[in-house]
Parts: sequence; C-alpha cells; structure tokens
Amino acid sequence: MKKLNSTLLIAITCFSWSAFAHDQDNTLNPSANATDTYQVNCDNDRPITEPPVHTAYLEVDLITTSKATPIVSLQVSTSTDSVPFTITNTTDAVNGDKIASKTIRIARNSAVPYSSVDDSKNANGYYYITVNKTKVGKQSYHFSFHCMGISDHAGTVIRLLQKDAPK
Amino acid sequence: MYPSVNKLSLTAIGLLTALAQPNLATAKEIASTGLGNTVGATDYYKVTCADGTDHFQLSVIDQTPVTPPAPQLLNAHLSKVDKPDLVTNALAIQPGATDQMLTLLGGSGKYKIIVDTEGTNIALTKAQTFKFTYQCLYADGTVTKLFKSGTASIKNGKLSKYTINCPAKKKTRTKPAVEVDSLTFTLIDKTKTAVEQVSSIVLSAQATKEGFSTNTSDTNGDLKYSPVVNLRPTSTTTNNSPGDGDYYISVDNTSTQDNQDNKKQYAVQYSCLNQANQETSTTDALVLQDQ
Repeated sequence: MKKLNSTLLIAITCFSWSAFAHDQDNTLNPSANATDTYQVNCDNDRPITEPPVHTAYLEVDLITTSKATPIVSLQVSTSTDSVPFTITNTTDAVNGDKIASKTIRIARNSAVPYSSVDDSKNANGYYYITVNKTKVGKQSYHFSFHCMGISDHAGTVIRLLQKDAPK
Repeated sequence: MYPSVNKLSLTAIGLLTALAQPNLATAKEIASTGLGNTVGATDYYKVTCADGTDHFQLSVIDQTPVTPPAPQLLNAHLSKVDKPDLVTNALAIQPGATDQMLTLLGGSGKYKIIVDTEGTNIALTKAQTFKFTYQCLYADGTVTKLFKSGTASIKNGKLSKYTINCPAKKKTRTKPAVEVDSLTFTLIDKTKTAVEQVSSIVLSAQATKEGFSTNTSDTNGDLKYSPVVNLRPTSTTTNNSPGDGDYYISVDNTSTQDNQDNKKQYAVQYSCLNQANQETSTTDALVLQDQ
C-alpha cells in the first residue's frame, strides 16, 4: 500500500510539473547581434466541458547559465495590434549565479484589471519574446514563461521564430 | 553665478550630439528625450520602409554624460591622551591634497592620531594610501629629535591609529627642563584621483519585423555609434517582398535595479536600403511607447 501511495505521489508530482513547467533553454551564437525570437500564444486550453481559463497576463523571467560571458537581456511585447501596445525588458544581472532576473508581467489589453478577466475582455493572444546580448561571446540562457489566469494557468504554447539571425 | 548642473548636462548632451560621428551615410535619426530610470523601461518606434527595400539598417549611440565619481576621502584627528577634549581635525582630505597640517598645543606627553575614511565614496573599494610626517616642538621653538615620516594604506571603513610621545627635555646641570609645546602632524593623501567611469549599464536597440530581429549595443563615454546591424527579413506574411513594410525599433538598457543612474540619453540612426545598399523611402519614426 505504501509503495502504491509513493507511486501515486510521484505520478501526481510529474503531472503537475509537465502541466505548468514552461521553460525554454537555448544558446546565442558568438555574434554580438545574435537574437533569438519566439512567439507565445496565450489562450484558454480547457475542454469545452470545463470552465474556461482566460489569460490575465504573461509572466517571464530569465537566467543565464555561463559565467564570464556577455550579459543577456530579454524583451517581451504584446503583438502590435494590441491596444495599448506594450513592450518591456529584463536582464539577468549576474551570469551563472543561478538567480533569475526580475520577473516581467505583461498583458494585452492591459487597461483591463487582471481581476475582471472574462470571456470578452482578456489578455489571450500572441506575445513576442526576443533574447539578445550586449557583446560578442557565446551565452546559454533559460527562461520560464507562463500565461496566467486569475487563479490558474492558462494555455501556453511557444514557437521559435528565429535562431540567432534571419535564415 | 555658475550654471546649474542641469544646464551643464544639457550643454554636454548637445555637444555630444553635435560631435557624434554619423554611422550611416544616409540615415534618419531619432533624437530621443531619454530613457527613464525604471527597470524594464523601453522606448518603441515604428518605421515604414517603401517598396523595393531589401534590408533595414540600425545603429544607436549612448549619449549619457560621463560623470566623475565622488572621491575617496581621508580624515585625520589629532588629540592629547591626557586631555581628550583637546582635539583638532582635518576632514575630507581629497586625493592629492598636500596642505593638511595639524598642530595641537598640548604640551609634553602622549598624543593620539587617528586616520579614518568616514564620508568617503564607499563604491570605490581600492585601499587609500597616505604619507605622513610628525614633529614635536619645544616651547622655545626648537624641534625635538623626534621627526618621523612614513606611508600607510587604509581600507574603507577602517582606522589607522598612532600614539606619539613628546617628552619634555630633561634638565641638566647647566640648563633647566624644557617642556614640549606642540605636535605637528602632516598628512598627504596619495590616493589616485578617481577616473571617470563608463556606466556599467549598457544601452541596446533592437530592430524587429514579423518575427525577425537583430540587436546592437553601445556604452556611454565616447562619440561613436554602436556597430551597424542589418535586418534582412527572408519571408513575409503579406504579399509584399520581405523587406517592405513596417519595422519596429525598441531601445532599452541592462539595468536591474531602479536607480537614477539608469537614465539614458540616446540617438538612433536607421535606414531602409535596397539590394544595392541605396536608400529607399523611409518614414519618420512613429513613437509607440515612450518610457
């Protein structure tokens, strides 16, 4: 019985992690202007039989993994059709110290208070993330991204649009 | 009447702008009112490139004036051991100052000297070095045999202490005793004057079009623009050629704590160019976000 409980606990833990872990790892090439670009789609991903969870905001933080290499910054913007359009920026202050940057919270339709998100007014939609550095040198990075509803995780899907430079 | 710091800063910025060497031969320029000091502050602009555009060129310059940091300072305190209320001080001795002489009329006996760094710029962590001399003087104006000099160094937040004994000249069969009148202590701050520091906060600008993006960065303290970067989109969501249409320029910095020093003055140069690197029609930048 004990063994069964342990297995169940591990299974639940793994399920929770896979459901909420939205992490992206990548490496910028040595070019000073190398830039990775991502598109994040925030949306309600609940089955029609369940109450919907719409996005209130997108949350992102960044961490660089190698010491003595260029400082890395990350910009997050709403898509340009968002009213008002919003863009912000975060930087991991110290490379390799395992402490993440300041967390960004950004929302489409940011005039809408998070607490009043409903079917018609929400922050669902596309967001764009760019990752770059200040000078020449290879640098690995990791960022976490979560589309969040008022009290639960909303649907979060990421797509790599550009690796280092247009190909 | 001296001009205010703000006026001086504006003059300096104007001078930097005038002297800055343009990086792009036929570029348009965004002369910004400045990027704010809030962490994450980002300015955002939209530029439209005409048909026939192959790529977009971008360069940025950080025009934030370089300001010298506050210097490391030393303080010297001279007192008499048996008369603690009798004290003289030389405060906030600047690097390179050579005229800091203290004299205390304390009579014969032990004197105490303390050198500290209170009030210094603690951001400058280099140990401060100083040279010192001291001399006891008899009441008749003659110097005692005691004359010493030396050098020492002191870290921020630490003290250097010295006790100097100035005994009276003993009486002889032919001469009476002579009391000490005073001790003179001279300190020369040998710490090097702090040099102007380029800001550790780097200014960056990104050009973006439909998922394609590039980046360039610049630090303040010179008149050079950042390296020119080219954004050459390879596909498009519209029926136009990939290079035509709207480009977006974002300007931000690497600050991680809200601080007055995060503020940035900058200018951006940009061009829409065809395959032969000739300028196509470029609109003025439309401000979408000004932080």
